[in-house]
Amino acid sequence: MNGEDLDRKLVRMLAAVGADAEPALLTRARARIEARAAEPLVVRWVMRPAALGASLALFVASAGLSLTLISSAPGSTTSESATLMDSLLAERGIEAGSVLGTPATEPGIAPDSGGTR
Amino acid sequence: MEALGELYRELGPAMVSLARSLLRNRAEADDVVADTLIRVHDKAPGFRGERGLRTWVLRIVANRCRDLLRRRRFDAGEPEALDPIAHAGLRVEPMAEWDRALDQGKALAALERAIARLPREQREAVILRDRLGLSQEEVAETLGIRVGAVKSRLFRARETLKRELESLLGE
Repeated sequence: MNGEDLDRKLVRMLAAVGADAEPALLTRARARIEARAAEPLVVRWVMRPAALGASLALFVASAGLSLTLISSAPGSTTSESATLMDSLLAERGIEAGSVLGTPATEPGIAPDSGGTR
Repeated sequence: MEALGELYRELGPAMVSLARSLLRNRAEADDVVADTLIRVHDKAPGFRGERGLRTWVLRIVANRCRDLLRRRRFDAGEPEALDPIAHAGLRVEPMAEWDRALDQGKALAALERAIARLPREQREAVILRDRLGLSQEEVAETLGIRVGAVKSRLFRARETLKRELESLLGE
């Protein structure tokens, strides 16, 4: 068999195989379209993969932003630490204002630097 | 909805043939065709017709098949004993001038297995061109590639298939 015959035979064999358009497939697609049309618009929007993805991304972004804003807000950490310090000092029975600087000037206690001597 | 029926009557055989030939699995292919019809229904208002309707619809089918094939992690193909044409849900047209000494069913099954072994790009090109009868320009539009690339894919695919056919006919 020469090359041309083989070419022709191959093309004929390839074209001899195919499929029919089964009406059941159209019925199935129509049923899905009609079922979808019966759903409320909001449900349809929410069920879209893109909408779901966008909603999730928006949620993550807003949660991240909120956490950043809360942690960087002025006074948020200082008030907490002040409260912590106050409670520690209160536990020891020391007034917060009198603590800093007092030990260095106490007689009989070595100052921590030679600058004041 | 009536237009969808009209479109299916016109393009349904090509859609089903393409999906079943590429996926070689009837159930998966039918899902692809149904999904494509729904997508066509949804996108039809935005279809401006700069591409032909047939190439637009077949492009959706081909892309969906590609997605499914990518998701198949392991594909050993059908067992030799299984008729690949029947398994895929394809049918055979009786061929005139067929050499009666050759078993037509056996020959077509062997050819189908050889098509399944082709690289995906070559398989798409040969099915669109030689099975569905699209022109090279239409194949290029459907696959989103240049006509030159179609020609090269077709040439390589046909050479491989001819070698398979030669060994089959020589048996």
